[in-house]
Amino acid sequence: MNVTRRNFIKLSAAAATAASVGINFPKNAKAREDVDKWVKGACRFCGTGCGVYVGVKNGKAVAIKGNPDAKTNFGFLCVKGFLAYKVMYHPDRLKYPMIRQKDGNFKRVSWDKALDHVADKFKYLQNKYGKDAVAYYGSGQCMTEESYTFNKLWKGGFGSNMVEGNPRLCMASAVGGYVSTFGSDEPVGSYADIEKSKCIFLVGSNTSECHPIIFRRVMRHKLNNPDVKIIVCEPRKTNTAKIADLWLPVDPGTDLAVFHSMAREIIKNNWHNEDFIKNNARITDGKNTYDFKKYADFVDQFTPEKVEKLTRCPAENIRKAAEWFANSGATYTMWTMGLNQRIRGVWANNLIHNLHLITGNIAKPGADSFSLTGQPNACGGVRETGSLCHLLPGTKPVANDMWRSYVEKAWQIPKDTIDAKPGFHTMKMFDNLGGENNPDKPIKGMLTSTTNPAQSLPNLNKYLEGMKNAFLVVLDIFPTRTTQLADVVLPAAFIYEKGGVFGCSERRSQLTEKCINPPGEAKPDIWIAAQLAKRMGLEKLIPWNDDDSMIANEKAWTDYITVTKDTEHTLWGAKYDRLKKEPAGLQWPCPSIEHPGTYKRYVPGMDPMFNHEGFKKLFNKEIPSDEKVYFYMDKKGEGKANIFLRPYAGPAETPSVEYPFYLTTGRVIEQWHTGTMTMRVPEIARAHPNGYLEIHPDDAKKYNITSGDMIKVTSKRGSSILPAVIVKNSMPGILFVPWHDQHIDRMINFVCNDAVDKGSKEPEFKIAAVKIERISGPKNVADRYVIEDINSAFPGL
Amino acid sequence: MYSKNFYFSVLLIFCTALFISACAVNSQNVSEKSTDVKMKKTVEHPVDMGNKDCSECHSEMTPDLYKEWEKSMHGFAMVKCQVCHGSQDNFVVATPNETCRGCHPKEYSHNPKPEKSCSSCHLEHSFAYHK
Amino acid sequence: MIFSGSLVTIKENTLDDVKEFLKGYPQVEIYTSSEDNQNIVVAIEAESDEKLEELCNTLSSNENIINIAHHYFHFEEEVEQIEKGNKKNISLKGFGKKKKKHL
Repeated sequence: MNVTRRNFIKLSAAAATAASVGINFPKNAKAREDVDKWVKGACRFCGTGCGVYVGVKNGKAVAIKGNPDAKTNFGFLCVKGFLAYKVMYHPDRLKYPMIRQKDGNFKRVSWDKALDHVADKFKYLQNKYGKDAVAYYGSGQCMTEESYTFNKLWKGGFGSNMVEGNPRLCMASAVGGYVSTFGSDEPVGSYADIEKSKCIFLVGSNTSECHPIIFRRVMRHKLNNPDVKIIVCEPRKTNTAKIADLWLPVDPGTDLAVFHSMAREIIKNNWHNEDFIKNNARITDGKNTYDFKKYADFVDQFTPEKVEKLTRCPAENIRKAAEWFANSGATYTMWTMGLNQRIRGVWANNLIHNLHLITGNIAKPGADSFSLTGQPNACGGVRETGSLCHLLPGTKPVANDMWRSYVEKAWQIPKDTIDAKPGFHTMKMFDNLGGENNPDKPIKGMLTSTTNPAQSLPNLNKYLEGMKNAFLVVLDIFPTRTTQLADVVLPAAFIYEKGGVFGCSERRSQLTEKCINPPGEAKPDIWIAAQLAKRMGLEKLIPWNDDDSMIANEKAWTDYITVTKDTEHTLWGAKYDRLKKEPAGLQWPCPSIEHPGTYKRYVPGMDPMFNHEGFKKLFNKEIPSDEKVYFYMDKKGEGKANIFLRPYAGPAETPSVEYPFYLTTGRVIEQWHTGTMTMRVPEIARAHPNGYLEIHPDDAKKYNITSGDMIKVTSKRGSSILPAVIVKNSMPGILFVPWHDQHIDRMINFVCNDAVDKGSKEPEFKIAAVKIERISGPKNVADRYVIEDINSAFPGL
Repeated sequence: MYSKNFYFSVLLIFCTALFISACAVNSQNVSEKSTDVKMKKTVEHPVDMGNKDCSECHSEMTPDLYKEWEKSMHGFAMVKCQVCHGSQDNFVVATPNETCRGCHPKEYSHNPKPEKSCSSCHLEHSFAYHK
Repeated sequence: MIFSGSLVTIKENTLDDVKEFLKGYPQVEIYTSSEDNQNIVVAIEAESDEKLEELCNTLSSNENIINIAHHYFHFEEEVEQIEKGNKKNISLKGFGKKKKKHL
């Protein structure tokens, strides 16, 4: 045996041994290691919550890799997470605080000057116009510690509930659905149910592009288990449908009929689970309770044939979907914006939960009604900390007297500091935002962080003037449409430059440690919040004024988990040093240091709340321990979930003679939200250098449109001009535009509808009635447009 | 002395020869499969990419390769050309192992042959397990 | 010739001593150790399984070594020899029933 072969065998032997026990096998020692250290963290982008390691060399982030121990992604990353670190060193990064001068340009100032200016102005506005004159608009992309801090400052310091966040625009309907059906926000199960499921229903989600790593798990599961059925229900036959066994096409906004019809077929064929319904659910319309017959009679009208006429979804497909859903043994549904960004978003969520409840596909392995969260920290940072106008930490309402007092005591503030009346939800907040000389706009000032409302709000024309006139303070890392309207710009630190906790879709909190320093004078949000608190006399409330962001973060986190330790969202066992050590973060409820986190709620033995004395005492809960499943957050105290009798309702706008098309909007895998980060990464920008309009060949023919032609798409509210892309993968009459383009002509939110769901107050981004017009032949618009100059003006304002 | 036509013919032959040799060099660069992982240096993409997405040209210029990728796990997962090969200013033909590490950290750290490129055993574009 | 990929489990804070000790055995090649410094990944080369067992017994006599566990065996050469008919008296020791321990 020659020497090389011998060495190869020994090397293989050693490598295999190391792998078997999870020991990291170092590269050939002779090769240069390209990083000094790997720092554990979470990905910056979507709600999947991929675990990452950031490679640091000489104080710079030089590489990134997936964390193979993370239970979300098992080491894999999508292109955004993979290239994220390039965002950090982009030359457009904002480095210095700036105040807009009278000539319209920004002037660099010191932090002291900027913070004093903001604090003084806020104090002035509050004194003159009332405590609700200054609002906070946060984001599902802020760290939990940051959102918690600003929420505490506003609600406990200013006594104002004018706190909102962009999850209002994406997840509010899911929250409404969970709370109305189960009594408590967030899913019952976890991603782990994917690999145990027998049927996966993807509805209102282009998972392959919007949650690519989740899609990877679904894809792998299907490849390993060809008998698993995949059903996709979407107006567009997206890339996700490549792995589908069944595609349910459906006109935008009409899918409630499809869900009712599926329920009808399930009941008609006796595929429902009578025992489960009897023991664990009740039929209700929100006011009264009914027997099951009432529900069966109600859905009976939704025959597949009738529904086909209404929705364009073939009756045969509905029947098959119902059969597979009910009989698979373990069905797992996932959805995102397709169901949430609707005026009937809460109802759409309820109807999906209904299907799971009537078939008993919940609270057991492989089965769940799982809402995919869009942003990386909408769950952890905004929903769980209660950073919305009507909530407090622990997701209980401000209107709840008991909880308000409890939080006041925990925060050591005088009784009745916290306002019992909810503030304004996002669309109402921006509708009431204006300048001192707008007497009809009561909100005169706003601090917004890590979000871009001047591009992301629907029906932009209505809200831009208000933002411009108000005293607007923007925390961001790049110039955006919103900084173009700002009075003060504060340069922010990126996640790996400050650290903090992100809580993803599956109730999992993961800690990112600070890896490197932010550029220039950029600062973490938490420092900015603490500084403002200090300058406004509220240092006692927000004492974590440390320069070291990890120390400040830990203090804020400890404060947060103390307040919520006896709620069903408890993270009391997730102390900071534990989160640092845990390779895969922790899923709440996690009541103690020894507790491993909860994979499945509402099941005794798996859910620690069944034995949580503090929780039971605080909320007066009597929870029997002999039930197999018990929904202990049931408002009626019967441990039951609600099967809702929701009438059919379509979208706010349907195509008419004047506006004959449906417009729906969405995402592409490479771009994140408004493209302020991703459009600056060359590889990503190359894949999608501009927005475009997807149109069916039949419609294109009617309008004499060929690929690349410039099309003007117009709704009642506004218009956009985009190049046409002819696609066969949708239904005629439906147009699609990805919304990541910040070029003024191609910002599709000028066109989108701001009508909101009555329950969740979430706008109907997904559906607008539009008309189109061919403007010209192809133009080169692949310009990867980004706003580079902080002093550039918002066109037309 | 010689006719115009003669000079013209010589020029034509010379230019053709030049063109052919240029093409040969070009194709050699493009098809060169280096299994040497040390080749991390960026090279010029033979044609100016402009603002085009890689797939716009490659679905037609290298259709077999493109189809192979499309049907692979990377195709399903939408790991497009630029993720492994970079963009105009950081273009690489042979993707260094550190790039693969981004999504395959476990395999990277247990690689029994770290001096070889991942693609020397795992077929590039179809990503079958082994050659 | 057989090769094993093995895990040497050692007492706390003895990594350097044990590594030094193992250097005296050229058949043992050290590759890496776990983060907690309690496990060393090695490859061992031995003429036969008896010799491997003998070697491991000798190594285990070091008071800092708690255990040597084998994860991976490579015995291609042995198989070749057997097929060629070069191996006589292949010992099946280890497959027989062990004597019952009298309590």
